[in-house]
Amino acid sequence: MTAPVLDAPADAALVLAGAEVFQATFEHAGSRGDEFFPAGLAATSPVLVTFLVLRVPESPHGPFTIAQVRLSCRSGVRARALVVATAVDAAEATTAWLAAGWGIGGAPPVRVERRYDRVRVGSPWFDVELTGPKPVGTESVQYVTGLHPVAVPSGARLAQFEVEVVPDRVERGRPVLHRFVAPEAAPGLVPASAVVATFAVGTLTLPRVRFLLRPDQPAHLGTERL
Amino acid sequence: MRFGIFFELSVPAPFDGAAERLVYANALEQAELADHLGLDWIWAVEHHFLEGYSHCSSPEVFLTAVAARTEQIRVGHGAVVCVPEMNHPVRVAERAAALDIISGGRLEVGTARSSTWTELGGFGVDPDLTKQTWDEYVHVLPRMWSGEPFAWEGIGWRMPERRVLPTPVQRPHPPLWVTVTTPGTELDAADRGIGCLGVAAVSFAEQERRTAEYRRRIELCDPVGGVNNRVTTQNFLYCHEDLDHAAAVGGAMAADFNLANSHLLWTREAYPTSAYQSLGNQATQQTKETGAPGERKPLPEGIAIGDPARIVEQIRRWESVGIDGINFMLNTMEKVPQEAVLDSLRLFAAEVMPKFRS
Repeated sequence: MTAPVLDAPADAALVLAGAEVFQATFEHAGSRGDEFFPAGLAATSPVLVTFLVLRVPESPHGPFTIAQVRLSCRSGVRARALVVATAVDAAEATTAWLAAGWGIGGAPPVRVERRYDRVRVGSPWFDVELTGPKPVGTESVQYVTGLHPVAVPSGARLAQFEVEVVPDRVERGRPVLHRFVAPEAAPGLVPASAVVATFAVGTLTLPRVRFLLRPDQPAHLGTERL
Repeated sequence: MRFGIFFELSVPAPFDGAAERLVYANALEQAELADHLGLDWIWAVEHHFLEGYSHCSSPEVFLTAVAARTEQIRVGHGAVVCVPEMNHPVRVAERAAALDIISGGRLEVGTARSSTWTELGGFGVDPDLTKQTWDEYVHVLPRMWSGEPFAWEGIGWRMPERRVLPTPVQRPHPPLWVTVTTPGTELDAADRGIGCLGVAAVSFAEQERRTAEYRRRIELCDPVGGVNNRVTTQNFLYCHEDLDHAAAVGGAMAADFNLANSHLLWTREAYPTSAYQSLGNQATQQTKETGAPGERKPLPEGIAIGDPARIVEQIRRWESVGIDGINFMLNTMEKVPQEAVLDSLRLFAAEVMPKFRS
């Protein structure tokens, strides 16, 4: 994966109404997972493989859909999710705006299919489905702060920001993985035991990027304020 | 004020047999010394699959060894995981009764429901149900320990009528506790007439608030059995004549524990459920998400690390918020050499404990 160039970081948070957020989680099997992380991060045990899809019907630069493969880890004492693959499905200008402002970049397609009894999403790396959705409390769901590989003039960094979601409703069900291709950044990744899948509809906030992390250093040494 | 030792049995990498044997041997030696010095409790956690953090998956075995080597000190589960997939309630009652007999009536029984996905997922537990199954356990354990015929049909398990044997020495039964990490569990404890076994770092003010509410509420409790109205907190202990040396050695030990704790995979991070409202993470409670990610924060106030005078001062403050006892972690992953741990304990017993004993 070629890291997007973060050359016009967003200077304010972006609030996006009517967003759909799909998340399916599996446990990685076959190794401790240390090999997926740079020296500045620590793997959780087990490593959670999360497929995250955001569909935004309206933004200042038009609609977009994002798919990511994320791996659970720790930066210092804090829970984080390392992004190892991203796909963006949007107009060319929208894609460029997301890459420059947040370091969210990657080739399409991303597909979302909603039916009354399932939600199925697809990307170049996964085809995964939430089955048997049941409503759960909106306070139940949590999205972990992501670490997005980016390029800045001083080198490779991880842009840290949390996708904030205020859901109007949340459904939870069982994830079924129909297809998986390990991303280039995480060869050997094996999403094995299914954990859970959720689908939320609500207001999404993309906060501005406040911190950049040097991937090769622990958080207390390698954090740069943007 | 009572004092206890709280064992996680954390193991330094590589996790080979030699390291585990050393940790267990050192812990047993510390327990023997604690008994000799007049401390009140030895507690052992129950954790599964938590590499490095805790290799104490069979606390009943460890506590039996402690009981066999000691004479006065009480031995406690800190705590038994009350989830049917991990410990059938009948087996919990049976094992506890046997340990109460072996220890001559020195058993304390802490209860818990586990807070990591690593453990719950490993046993295929539905996180939505653990609060309910925990509630069933604390209600049925006193009844099973009575020795009377017992039957049950509940949410998590069922059984036809049987007598659960043996019965414990202590009457009506060994004191029951619940581990308290998140706010609100102290109210669950009070409503059921069981003790609060604090296992997460909280501030003086927060502990005072929780303790006061617990004291008020337990007066109105509908007890599950014999009432245990005690409240304890958890702390680190490293006591040395030289304050700077104590801060360096004990501070590193505490920091290592907090880092290991922060690396646990909390249930809420993996599985969205209202049954787990917080990450239950000690380290991040001490480093809120307000500053820079890499910002180093000082150790929290109240920590029992320092020279005897400082530790007395800290415990006086804990005493003033109304708690009954403090349980100390003495080491993390053998960070502190065993002789230094034992010396710290001896100094604590000689210079600090007498200040809190009538």
